[in-house]
Amino acid sequence: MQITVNDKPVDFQGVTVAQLVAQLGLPETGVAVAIGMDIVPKTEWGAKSLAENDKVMIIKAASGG
Amino acid sequence: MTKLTIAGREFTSRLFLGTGKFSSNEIMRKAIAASGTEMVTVAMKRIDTQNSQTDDMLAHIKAPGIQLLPNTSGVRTAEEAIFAAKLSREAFGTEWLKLEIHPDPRNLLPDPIETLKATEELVKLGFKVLPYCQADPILCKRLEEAGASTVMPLAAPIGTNKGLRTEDFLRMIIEQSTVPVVVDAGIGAPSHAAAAMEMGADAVLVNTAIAVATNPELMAEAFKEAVVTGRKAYEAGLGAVSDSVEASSPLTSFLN
Repeated sequence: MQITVNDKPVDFQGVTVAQLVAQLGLPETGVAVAIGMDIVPKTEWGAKSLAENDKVMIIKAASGG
Repeated sequence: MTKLTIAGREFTSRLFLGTGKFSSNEIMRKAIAASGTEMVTVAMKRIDTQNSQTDDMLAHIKAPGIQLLPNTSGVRTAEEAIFAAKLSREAFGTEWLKLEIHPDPRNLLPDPIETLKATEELVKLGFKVLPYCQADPILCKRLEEAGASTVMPLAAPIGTNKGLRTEDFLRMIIEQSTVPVVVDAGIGAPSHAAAAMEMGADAVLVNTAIAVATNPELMAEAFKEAVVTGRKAYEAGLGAVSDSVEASSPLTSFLN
């Protein structure tokens, strides 16, 4: 399905948030996911399904003061 | 030296470290170790789906005894800060938060009104809020009343290494505060950190001065020693400053 991640188009091969995180090669720690403005708790990544055209935001740890 | 307690957690080290601007994760890791710090800030960024995500910087920070302090850098309003705080709680598994709302990239000064609004909301949501703020005693009192775990007034504009430009106001804040005072931003040399600690600051947060040093690991060690020395001097009780001379040797005229 086609979704956007941080405003960029992504051809997503799976169904759940956990599968998206895996497809993008992200570590499980230091990462947070929101669909629109709704944050998906890590405990729900495995159960939460994505839908066509979902706007996903993913952030990860970065260095900073 | 007495230990520092913030939001129920004890810290032996009174030096907090930022992780920005290091030339590599390995140099950052060495500086963290040399500093003896137990509180390390971390930021968040949007992932870039076009590029590899292999740089796991957290792996270089995480160590037993180190409290991660995620910041909200990049937000411009209280509303954005609250969203960022919730993301950081998910990403890092901690309710500790360095609240920083600086809307104008030209000066990176904290927005006092949005910072106070966000502090009030985030405390209600269970966050341990450590707000970066202007060295304004009135604002610091309001943040404290809103439930902030510390106040973090700035010494000088972020990244300038100019030292304690706000000294008069920092002294007022330290005098009145019932929560720990962490002097943040602008500390550019170990002597600045020592001076802040001698004044009675509870801790200092240093980033640029260590990260951009020719030898960050050695500079981290220098800051560690300066913070310890400054704190010891404060606890020992400094002598009063006087305009009139006072002999420290006996003035008996033994030559005639």
